[in-house]
Amino acid sequence: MSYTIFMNFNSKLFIALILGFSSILTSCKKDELPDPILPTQPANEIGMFKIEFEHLFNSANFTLNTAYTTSEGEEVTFTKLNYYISNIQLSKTDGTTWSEPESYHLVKLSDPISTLITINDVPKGQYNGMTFMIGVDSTRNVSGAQTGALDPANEMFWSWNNGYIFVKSEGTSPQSSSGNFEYHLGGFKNANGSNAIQNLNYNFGSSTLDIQPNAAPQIHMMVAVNHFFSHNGSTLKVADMSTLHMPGAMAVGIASRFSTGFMFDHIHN
Amino acid sequence: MLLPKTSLLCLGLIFVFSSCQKDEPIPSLPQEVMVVPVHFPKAVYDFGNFPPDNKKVAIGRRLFYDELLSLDSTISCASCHNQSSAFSDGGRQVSSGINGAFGFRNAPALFNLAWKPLFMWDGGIVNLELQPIAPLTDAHEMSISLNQALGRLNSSTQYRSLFKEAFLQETISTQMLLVSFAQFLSSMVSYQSPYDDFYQGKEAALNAAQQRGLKIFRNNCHSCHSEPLLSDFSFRRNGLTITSLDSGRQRITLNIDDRGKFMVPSLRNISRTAPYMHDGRFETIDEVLENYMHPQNINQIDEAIGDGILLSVQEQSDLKEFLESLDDKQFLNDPKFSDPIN
Repeated sequence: MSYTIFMNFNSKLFIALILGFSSILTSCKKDELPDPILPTQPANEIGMFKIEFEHLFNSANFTLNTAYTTSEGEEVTFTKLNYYISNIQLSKTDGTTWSEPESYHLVKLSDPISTLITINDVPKGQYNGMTFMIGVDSTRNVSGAQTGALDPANEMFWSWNNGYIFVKSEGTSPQSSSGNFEYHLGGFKNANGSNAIQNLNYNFGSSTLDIQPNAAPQIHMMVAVNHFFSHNGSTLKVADMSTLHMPGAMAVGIASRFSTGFMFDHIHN
Repeated sequence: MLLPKTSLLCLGLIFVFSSCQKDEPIPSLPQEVMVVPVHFPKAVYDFGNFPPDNKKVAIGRRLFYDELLSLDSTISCASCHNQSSAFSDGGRQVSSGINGAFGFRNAPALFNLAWKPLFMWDGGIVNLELQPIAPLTDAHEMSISLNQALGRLNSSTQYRSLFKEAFLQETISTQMLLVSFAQFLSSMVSYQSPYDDFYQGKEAALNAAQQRGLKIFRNNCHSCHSEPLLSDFSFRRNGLTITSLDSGRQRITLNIDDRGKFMVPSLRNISRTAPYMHDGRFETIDEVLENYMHPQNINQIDEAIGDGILLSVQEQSDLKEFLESLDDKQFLNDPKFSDPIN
């Protein structure tokens, strides 16, 4: 099948050739300074590490399809819990940092493999801190069709109000009038207090993440899912609100509280 | 001539394939080129890492007309966006999706989409590549998940081979689907109306009444329906009663000041795109003009309209004559955009 686009040339409608309408090539950049393009590091200068997310509810092992009781006395059974971990950065005591390129990971509790994130091609060395986002940076929320963890087919994307769903939790509760709960948290715009991106910052304390060729150190994170519903006197009752499908202050509040449940536990080197 | 003939907008072969797409094939530079009318401003859509080529455009066109992409295989995009209506849903206030479900806003006309910064009446969609996800997945429209759609496409040897030829990939991905749609939608450029000829210096393109109408337009309408795209793509309250069911732009921004604001639509091909407004409440251009002269609701109305724009009977008649010059018959009949399947 062959035809040519817009071949309607004439003298009055002089048509400009244009290949890739603009030089805007920012679609892959993050908000911060662009990552420098580093030369490929030799294999003896790089290593890998993993981050494991272990989920708990009130100190008990947390799994989908199990009933737990919130601090407000409500019974909740999750059928889905997915969230984005993005923009992972490691830091050293000298203040230097390393950022994972294309750092977008979708953790789905229905897929245990996804709870163990593997990060390759890290410059070797001793790192003593880590930052990451729960959510997706604003730039990628407004870019075109994405791939991998950010593929809209992962159903972590709002089609009608573009942006990623940072945290998708669904389940059942006898305290919900419909019997179900659905909280889809997202929102990246600073206007009107609807930025739900959670930036988390961890210091490994006396531990060190030692990146070496042929080593596989692992950072062990604990995720207290009960923080979704309550922490420090701030609460969400399913009976009061069982559905949330849009950005805004409610989403920010839940995302912020949920993020307090992400705790650094230990590192095995 | 309003514009120099030689203002070539050539940005040349400035392609930088950024590192984030390293898993994707880097397309070879196409022999074909995407072109834009010289009297248009710079487009918004930049094609990302996929320079336009006819193979992708052809796939997008086929997808646009393929009922395979609705859950029960009864409707395609073209069911509610038909060419003779400038790809609006001619005559329907709101459109019907699968199982007789109805959407809640008027299906917009589709043309010059590469120049639009945002999509939908409320601007909730921010990139042309993301636009098709909404009608595909909306339960009131085609009601299919992206994974279901990809499953069907990947089960079709014909689509697999078309996509493989265009993208050098064995498996059809969401990105390949959306890029193909975006390239076809970008190719739908309406730029050959009598108004366009006049705009570029061909005075005889508009008759005397139309030329008078253009003056009236430039004095009264132009600040929102700015030339030559005939929209500034801003969000405004144009004097309609606001229904509690549809808060317009506020739904996206959550800003109370945006309540009842909707995106200014382009007026190109306006004689084909009735009914008018986000909810299709006006069946005729006369009703539209009446609203601008005597707005239904002047509460918080856009200041460009104020208490109303009063026009004499003669002025209304001239203005309507001018609006007819916005019909682009080449676009409405261009076989490049017609159904390639049937």
